[in-house]
Amino acid sequence: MRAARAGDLDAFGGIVERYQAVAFRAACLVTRDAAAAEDVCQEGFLRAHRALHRFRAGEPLRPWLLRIVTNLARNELRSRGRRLGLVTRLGRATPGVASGPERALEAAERSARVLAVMQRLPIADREVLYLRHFLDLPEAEIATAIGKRRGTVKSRLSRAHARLRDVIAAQDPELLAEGTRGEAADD
Amino acid sequence: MTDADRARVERLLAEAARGAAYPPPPALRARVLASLAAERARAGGRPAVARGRRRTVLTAVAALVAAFALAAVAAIPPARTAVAEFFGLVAGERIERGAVVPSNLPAPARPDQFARPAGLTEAAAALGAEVPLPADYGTPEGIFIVAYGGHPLVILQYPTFDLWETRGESFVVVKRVPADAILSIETVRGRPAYWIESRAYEVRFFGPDGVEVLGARRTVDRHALIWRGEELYYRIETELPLGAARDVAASLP
Repeated sequence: MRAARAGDLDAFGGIVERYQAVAFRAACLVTRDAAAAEDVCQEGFLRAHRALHRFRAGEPLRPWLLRIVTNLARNELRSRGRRLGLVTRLGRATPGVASGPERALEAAERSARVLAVMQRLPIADREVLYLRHFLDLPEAEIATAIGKRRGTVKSRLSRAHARLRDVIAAQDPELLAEGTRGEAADD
Repeated sequence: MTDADRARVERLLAEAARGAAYPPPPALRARVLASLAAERARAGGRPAVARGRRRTVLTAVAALVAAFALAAVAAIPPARTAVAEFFGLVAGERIERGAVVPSNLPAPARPDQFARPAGLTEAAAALGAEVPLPADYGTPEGIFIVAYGGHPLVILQYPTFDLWETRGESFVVVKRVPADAILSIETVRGRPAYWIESRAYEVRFFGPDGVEVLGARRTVDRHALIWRGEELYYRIETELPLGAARDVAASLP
């Protein structure tokens, strides 16, 4: 990091390599468009490089980068009004927990439905859910990534969970029932 | 919301997250570094992170540098089309794509056909400094000196690559490559570099007056990694891939 701040491009290249996967995932989730996510990531790293002098030594780099990338991704989403694209790709995935073909198919379908329902949430709710559940960020890093206090993250996550539950109940109530059956099956 | 509801929602989210298959992440390193190197070149070589509060002054400097560079390029007709592609990243290097058809070029020549053998002492005298040798590759099989328009260039010949070194700041080397050549902007030791991966292409050498140096035109049928270090200009010609060429560069002192 010190070398990158001193202007060493190779050192900054190492940072890009290390964080490009998580940045790309975050951008994919927000923009729901792989090509847009790619552009957003590239621009995000360029902006991060220009802002390196503002980065406080000792702070974690990942949430700082994600803040830049998710802000850009949100702007991209707003400016283009993109529609679902990634959801289809995400829905084709095979969940790692399913043990047989039928359960795998059911789980994949359920994942696609969850992602589709999530699109009805405000972008701020979706962001915290993506950061927490899809990118596995701890609350402290989410706080840096969205520029809020940790307490705000807690309340925003709680509100997002409640809203998602309400949206599911209104749009696809079977999901909640299936979730319950899944608990029973695991027990 | 009850705890049971929350647990169900979190369970659904966890399942959706596990099932998420993202498109493969793009290889952003080269693209980001190329953009940064271009920014740096436009800003007169200073790192972007150091610019910060002096943006206004540097914008003026960048404009001045750009104006000089454009004027220099404009003086050399074959180089004009290269401006849009690789403007000014490696000083003295211009690349013109689609300007040659490999089958129409003369046969490539090796250093022993156009340069004269020399020892390390003479090569050092030509460079005006100790000759940098790649540490991990032993003694060069051959050392050659060629003078283009009175400008000395040292060529170190190894089994799998030739390493060119020179001190020139005022010359311009124009590469005329076929349309299907692979051109990429890399970094070598933190400095912008060009990588040319191509069938045969042509190299021309222009003096500070913008006039092509007679006898310096040649055909190259190997890849090339080109960059300008603190003091010297380097060129590795090789059949090896980019990674191997970078290894050679990394082992220079």
